[in-house]
Amino acid sequence: MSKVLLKGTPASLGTVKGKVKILRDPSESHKVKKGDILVVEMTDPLYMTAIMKAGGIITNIGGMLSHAAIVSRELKIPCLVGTENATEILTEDQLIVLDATRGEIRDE
Amino acid sequence: MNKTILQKIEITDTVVHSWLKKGVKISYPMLQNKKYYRSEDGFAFVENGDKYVIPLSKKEIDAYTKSPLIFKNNFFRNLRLYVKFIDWLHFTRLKTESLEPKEKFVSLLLILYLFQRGMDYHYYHFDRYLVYQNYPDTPVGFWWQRLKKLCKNETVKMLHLLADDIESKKIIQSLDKKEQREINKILINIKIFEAAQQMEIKMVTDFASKENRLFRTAIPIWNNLMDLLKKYPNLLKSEFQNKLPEITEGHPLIMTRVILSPNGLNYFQPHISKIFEDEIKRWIKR
Repeated sequence: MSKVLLKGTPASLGTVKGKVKILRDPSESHKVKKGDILVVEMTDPLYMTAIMKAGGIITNIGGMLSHAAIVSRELKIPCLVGTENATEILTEDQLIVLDATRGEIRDE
Repeated sequence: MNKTILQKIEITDTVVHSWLKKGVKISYPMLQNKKYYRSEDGFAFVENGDKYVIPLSKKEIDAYTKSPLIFKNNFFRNLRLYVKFIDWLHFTRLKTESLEPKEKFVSLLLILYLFQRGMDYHYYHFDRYLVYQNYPDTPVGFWWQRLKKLCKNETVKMLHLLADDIESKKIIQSLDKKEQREINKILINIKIFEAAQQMEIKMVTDFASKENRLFRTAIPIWNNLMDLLKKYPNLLKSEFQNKLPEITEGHPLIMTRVILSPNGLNYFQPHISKIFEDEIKRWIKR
């Protein structure tokens, strides 16, 4: 079994594998390509262009009713919130498995 | 009669009056408020912008807790107005093109201020409250904590209930009648808050152009301002010339807050900050 890198609160169930894209703010949304896993402090409506392309979302802050959680459930993509430090632990372009059903992020 | 800078870009007294009458709220100066929302544990505050806006009053929080539908209605009334307002600012910016550089700079600064304060009022006054689920003294938190208690904090169970899937029906059926009534009421109210967030995204995005309305408005204003500042660095006072790289290379979201604060406005030549202040005061006094 691959190594568990981080844990968080599941906000939209499902599992997805993809490349990490860490955004410091919404103006970096162009970095995200279809299927990438968006990793942010927290999301708000300004991140929508990035979210629409993402295969999954990971946030440092937020709960099951946060913007990221609600949007990911609507888009039916896995989402893990409240990881506290995903933006610090994960690295740009790192290949990971986001298992939002188990509430964990594993290396690939 | 000489026109003021805002009048030159067709922000006339009539136009200002019309926006204020519709409910646009612009306050001046942009200062940090001591009374921004803070939870008892001190962690609910998550963004710097929270400090710049008066939070919801206790009366508003009580009303929105009792009836999330009132929150949703007020939220949308304000959002619809704000979206129209920023779209108007977006097109007003284009009118600054005909002004001479100094006037263009001040007019863009003014438009940026109107954008930021309008956003502060909506985003931090209303939107922010949608993320306070962990705090039972907020409308969302009140209902969320009740759901957590009823679900014994089982995350997957709560997710099924929110998804309203087949599992959710089984979960509800497993409860007694009293709990079923309670959970249905809780879910109806939580769904209202969810719907507010979902609708907000749709309203903030211009799907025809696939652009985010906020970005479409704010980024060109910022870029125009920075281009002018690089070309005419003497728009800054001589003693603040060292601030030029920090401002022009800084992040727009952060530097907007910096240059529009009273301290930041003081970086510019006195006639710029004076015109800026006079125009904003004319706006808010109506």
